Amino acid sequence: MDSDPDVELRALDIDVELDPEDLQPSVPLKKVPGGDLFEAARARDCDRLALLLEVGANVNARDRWDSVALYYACLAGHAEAARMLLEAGAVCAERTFDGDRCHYAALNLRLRWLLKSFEARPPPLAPLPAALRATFLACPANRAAFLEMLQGSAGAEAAALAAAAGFGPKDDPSSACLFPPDITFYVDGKPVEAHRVILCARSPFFEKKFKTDWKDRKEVRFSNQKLYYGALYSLIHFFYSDRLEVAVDDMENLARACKVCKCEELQKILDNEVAHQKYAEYKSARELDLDNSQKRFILQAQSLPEEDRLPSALQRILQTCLANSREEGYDTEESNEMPKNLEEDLADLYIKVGDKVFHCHQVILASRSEYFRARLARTADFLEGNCGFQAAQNLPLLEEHDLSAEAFEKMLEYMYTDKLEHLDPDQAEELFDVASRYLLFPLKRVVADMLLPHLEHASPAELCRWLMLSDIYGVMKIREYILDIIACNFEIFAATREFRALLLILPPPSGDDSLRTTRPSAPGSAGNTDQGNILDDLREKWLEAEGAELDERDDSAALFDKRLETLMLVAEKEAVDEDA
Amino acid sequence: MNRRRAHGHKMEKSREEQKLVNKGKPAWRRGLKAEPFKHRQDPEFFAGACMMATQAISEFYAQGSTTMLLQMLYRNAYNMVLYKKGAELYSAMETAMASEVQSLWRTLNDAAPAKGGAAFLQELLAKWNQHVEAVKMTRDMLMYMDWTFVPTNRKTPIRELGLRLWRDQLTSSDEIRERLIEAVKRRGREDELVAAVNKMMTELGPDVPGFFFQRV
Repeated sequence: MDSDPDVELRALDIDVELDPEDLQPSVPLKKVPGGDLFEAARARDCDRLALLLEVGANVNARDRWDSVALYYACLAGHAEAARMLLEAGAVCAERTFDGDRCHYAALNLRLRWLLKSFEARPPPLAPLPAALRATFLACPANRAAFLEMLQGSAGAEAAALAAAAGFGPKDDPSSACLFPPDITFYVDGKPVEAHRVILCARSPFFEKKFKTDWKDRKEVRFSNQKLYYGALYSLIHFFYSDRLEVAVDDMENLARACKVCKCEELQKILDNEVAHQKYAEYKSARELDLDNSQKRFILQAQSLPEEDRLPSALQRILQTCLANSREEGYDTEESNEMPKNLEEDLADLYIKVGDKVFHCHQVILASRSEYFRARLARTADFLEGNCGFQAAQNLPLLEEHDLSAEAFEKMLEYMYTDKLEHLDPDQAEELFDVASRYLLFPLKRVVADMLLPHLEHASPAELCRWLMLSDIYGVMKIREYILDIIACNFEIFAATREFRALLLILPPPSGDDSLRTTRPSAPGSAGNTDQGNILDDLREKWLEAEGAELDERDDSAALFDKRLETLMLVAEKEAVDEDA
Repeated sequence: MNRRRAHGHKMEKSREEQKLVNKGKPAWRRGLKAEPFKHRQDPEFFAGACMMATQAISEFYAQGSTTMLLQMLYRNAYNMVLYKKGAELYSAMETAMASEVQSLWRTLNDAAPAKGGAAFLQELLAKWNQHVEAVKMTRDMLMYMDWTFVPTNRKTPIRELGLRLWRDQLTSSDEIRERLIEAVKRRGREDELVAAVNKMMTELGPDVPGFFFQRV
């Protein structure tokens, strides 16, 4: 979570008279540690909710009363919980069955505003296009144009709402410019900023131009009357975000631009759509008061064939880069077979890992990882290791230690394409480390998803190891999965030596028996503050699977604690025996 | 492995376990704290990493740069947070930053009592910029902590902590307030120094300019 939800929500309050008391519940909230999505939403247990969403729960699922989680959050007036669900992609359009119920149930105006502002929003982008779009919109001229477009677009009110809810580019000074552009286009004197790599990856036309005419240019001015500013802006925005948004008036012009840029699939779709739009007027009801200048056409990447989408385009670039990356004994200067296609990969950064030098692109690394952004911005302030190689190539060279070239290559694959082709389970641990270290948190989920099938056949001892690892690296999906297994097969694990040894090194379960009461009806017992204690979570899961109901639940909990104690004693004895 | 509820498992203790129960309570019950991840824990490493972070922070304040490698500093901090030493790291950072801010203000107060007006404002702004830069660098160094440890433990993010420390100093004494108001009055409203001071105050918080200038 990169922004405090409360801060943004406050912006929504501007026109709504609200008691400050509405924001704080009058009754203390109760945690629902074992609850599902619906319970967590109803109880406003945001930690639980975050965990469930992280693990990949379906936000639009219905329970047996045919209600979605968002409905409960609205009904109970939990704006925070509602916001989390909406951000995870919960449907809230007023015309759908679920959306209508949410609007109807919303406890206060604030929630209605929240629902309305999210209704205007297109579905969330995948991490890669989202990151690149942020970089594109962070360029000052692009951002200005974007805000202007928001102001001018059909519903100025909707735009204001969208901006208030944080869909617009964030005005956060710390991310003022994610990564500076290296080329600026001018159409009618209006600028569009961009990065060469992205343009080259998406269009053969730009690739050719950047190799020839525009090789050393910092700006290019189009004086051609046939190109509109809006069309070019939409096209370049599409190159970054894989989502096309264009004013209907600009569509014909854009189709022509696509033809020049050799984006054939996109052009085909646009041509069809232009033909369709000609007759749309007659088909639609006349009363619609929108005039054409305000209508916009939106195209999602899914409508394009796979090879025309952003990940495939970047994958091609990455492959060239990897082919050029090599084991560099960089004292072998005489190797005159310097990669011939050095120009081809457009690399503007070398990263040395182990004894391999990778060719990469600053804009991609900086967009995807805050670590690399800082690293690239701070090369002057912190001492960097220099070597002759760097001077020879006139490009920056960073060195990364404590990881293998293979893991780094995997990480690059993810950074450029948002996916991994295949994964060796032995590599998973290092990838979790890499994902945490470089702040590439979505990578953890990808690795976890690929690892899960392997865990089905893993022995209890291996599962114990993965439990520890997933706890360290915060891979909630794996951690939950293994805790479930342990809780349901507790006796098998109790008989495993590795599990008992694990008990010794884990932090002890929190609290005393008396404090730890699981009596469910006591609100205000805000739960333990010590979050993420494995044994606490395990007890919770075990009680869910094996424990008795209601009054006897505490007895079951005590039983479980006793059992843990004895297992620990066994483990201590075993440890002593081993030393002897 | 069966994920579904396994029926019929009763809590049965083996005979050996039964014997052990009576022997005594395990370590964590006896009041000893079991330390997690013993095998990978090296207290010396953590102490060293903490020291280095502290030293780096004072270098950020002193010269706006450091002689140490960003990637090494970052990696040390990352490892500390990973092995659950985030709390130590955070408090070390907090203390270091607080003492640096204090010494900045001490030099400001010592150096400028005689100087009035513009010189004071200039000095103040220079120190402020120094502080902002240092906070940025500290955050880059401890980015991993700021992303993971800080939100889960509900600590103040580094950037906000920096602002808070500065605000506390700025609003701590009446003397400073009077001097500031005096200096601003003398410069007049349209001055660029005053504009910069105003910008600083709005960054510190929406209520800060009001705190100073309501009564002007």
